[in-house]
Amino acid sequence: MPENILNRLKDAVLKYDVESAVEAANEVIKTGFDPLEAIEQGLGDGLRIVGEKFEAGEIFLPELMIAAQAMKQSLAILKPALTEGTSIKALGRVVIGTVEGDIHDIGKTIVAAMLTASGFEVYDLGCDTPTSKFVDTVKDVEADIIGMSALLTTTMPKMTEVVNALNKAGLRDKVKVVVGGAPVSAAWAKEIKADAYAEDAIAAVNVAKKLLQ
Amino acid sequence: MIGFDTTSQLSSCHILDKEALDAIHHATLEVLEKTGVIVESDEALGILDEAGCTVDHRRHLALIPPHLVKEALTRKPKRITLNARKPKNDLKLDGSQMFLCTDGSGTHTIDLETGERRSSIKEDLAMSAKIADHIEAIGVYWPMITSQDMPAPARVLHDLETSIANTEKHVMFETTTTPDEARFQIEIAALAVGGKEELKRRPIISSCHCTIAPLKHDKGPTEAAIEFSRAGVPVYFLPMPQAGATGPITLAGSTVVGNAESLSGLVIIQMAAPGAPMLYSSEASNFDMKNLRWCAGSPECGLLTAVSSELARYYEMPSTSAGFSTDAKMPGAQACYEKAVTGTLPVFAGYDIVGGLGLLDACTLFTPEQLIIDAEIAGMLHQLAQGIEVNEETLAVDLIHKIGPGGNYLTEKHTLEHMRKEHFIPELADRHSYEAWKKAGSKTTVEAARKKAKEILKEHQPAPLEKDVQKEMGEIIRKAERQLIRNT
Ligand code: B1M
Repeated sequence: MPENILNRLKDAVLKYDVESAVEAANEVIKTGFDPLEAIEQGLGDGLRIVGEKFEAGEIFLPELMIAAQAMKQSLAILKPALTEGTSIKALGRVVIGTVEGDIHDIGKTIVAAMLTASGFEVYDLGCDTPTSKFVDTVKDVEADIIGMSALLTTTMPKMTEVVNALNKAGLRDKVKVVVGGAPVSAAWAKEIKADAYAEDAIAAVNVAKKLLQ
Repeated sequence: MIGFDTTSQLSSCHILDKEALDAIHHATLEVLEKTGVIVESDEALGILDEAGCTVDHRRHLALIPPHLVKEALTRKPKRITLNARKPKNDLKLDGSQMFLCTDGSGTHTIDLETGERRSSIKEDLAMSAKIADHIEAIGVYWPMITSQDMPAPARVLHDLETSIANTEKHVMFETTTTPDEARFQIEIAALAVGGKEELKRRPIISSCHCTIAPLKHDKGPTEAAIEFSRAGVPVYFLPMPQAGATGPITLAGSTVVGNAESLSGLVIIQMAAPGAPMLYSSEASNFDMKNLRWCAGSPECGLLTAVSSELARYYEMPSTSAGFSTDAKMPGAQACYEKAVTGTLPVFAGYDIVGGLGLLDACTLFTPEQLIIDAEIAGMLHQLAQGIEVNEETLAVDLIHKIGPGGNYLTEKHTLEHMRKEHFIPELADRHSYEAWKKAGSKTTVEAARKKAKEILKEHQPAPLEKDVQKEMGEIIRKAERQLIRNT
């Protein structure tokens, strides 16, 4: 029976079936099965395979995103049942958003989805994100990484503003800064003293993993 | 000659028949009436409310009834003229000619001297304008790259001033995101023509405003568009649904989403400034599910572009389109074949303006070499679209009779009269013998284009603006810098 439920969770993720994942998660709660095992071995295993397939170019973005959704919705059911003191082994916490004045959010959303699918706990602030919101969220969730996206040359300076504000709030040495977006470059990342630049979503995951090693 | 004659165009190739266009139109009206559009600007929302739309101010949602779309369509002019600093370069958009436009607002360039890829600066922009000014086939100049060495809030003004100063052609742009910027841009353009009234009569600038797919009008750009319309500056809305991501995966569905954005923009402008000059456009494309990229060089992009011109004709509006787009990272094979494919449909579709010349890497990278190559690709495509003219003069039976079997036509008056128009004459393509090509240095097309770019820059100097106009423009920019920087 336990084996069975783990397989059902994993299969639901692998089949991009949000409903079945939620159904299986509810059953975990009903039967008193260990939620941590369900998360890490059932859902986690499934998502890991999906992530690998995506990186290998075998599956498409909507499949990855729906798998991540299955994970997210099941987590919402399973997390409250975790015994006090246990926490899920997320790879790390990432706060991500498009900077203020910029509404380009497609690239940022994809990066967020890839990070989620790869096992990060992601807080997506959306687009046109005020500097203060970046800083407050980093503080509130004790983020390991902050990811900023800018697609306009005129909004790139907002990234500097956020870095300065992190400094001012005494948070800069607690959080790694990653930047991306079409006009952004490695040289720009260096100029504004960010920790890294990522050219696409797959690079973003690799960079994030490396920064937290 | 800057316009390409399209009256004898082979076919305006048809992707959709009347029935399909009607279906798209009706689907669009249904979406506008039942789903509606989000309009972030209170000013624009107020205009729609007053005009009779059902407006939810809290959600910024406007439901637009079909009769208002119809009313807006009757208010807008069917033909417009895009004027230029030099009147000889004025462009009459009446469906009889196609004009080429440079691609614009890129962020990077490959340095002509060092070959290094880097962020663009004001000097690069001036250089691109000079080259475009020289290339006869180009009718409209869109500031190709951004002056990133200038303070961010006033960059649009530096870009406009540099463009007007370095080309005598019409300038169209896309980066205005607030009504304040628009007001300063109107001031700058008015200086070049001798006042705001004159600018209304002879708009030497026009502005493009992006909508946010699906079905959203951004606040700043929309208010800027209203500001331009009231000053008589032609505007258009540019929807960019990406099939599969921000539009339905089906090309028809994404066409409906884009058309709903265009038509709702038309309603806003025609209610704010009845009779304001407008164009119709779309830059819908598909979303690459594997590489997570907006596709600029795909066949789907070509199809969607062609359909948009058919919709423009359906609505009797002057049309402008992207085209000649590519995902390639440098001038060369991928750039040229993708540009040839994505340029073909817009050229055959009979647009008034076809853009996209000179940028690479999904509209972000400028190289002088590719600009020169693209003008040649466009010329060849236009020649194809012309087809073959058949009449007494072109059949030339009398002449054939006169020369008889075995002669040649080289020294005939008929040859002299037709040789420049009947055949396309390439400036770059190498048609020498192998030996001659080798002797001349075995140059690739890109090398030949680079040589040409350097020659143009050495020899070509567009007529400068008058000294006091230059000075006043500088003052406006400084005033704007103070004000816009304070606002940020
Ligand atoms: C951890 O942190 C990280 C790590 C990696 C990160 C990261 C963060 N963020 C991104 N990455 C990286 O990973 C992602 C996935 O692989 C990648 O993300 P990307 O975002 O690069 O890639 C996406 C998957 C696909 N790419 C895109 O979605 C962007 C494509 C282009 C064509 C584009 C689009 C689609 C749009 N636009 Co706009 N747009 C252009 C773009 C040209 C281009 N090729 O970039 C650009 C950026 N736009 C431009 C402009 C001018 C504008 N746009 C505007 C609006 C729009 C649309 C709404 C129509 C639409 C955006 C829809 C949306 N919801 O996002 C306006 C912006 C208003 C505003 N306040 O922001 C407006 C100002 C136009 C106007 N006047 O209305 C130009 C900027 C010019 C400049 N010099 O700055 C532009 C380069 C096009 C051009 N050549 O003119 C990587 O960069």
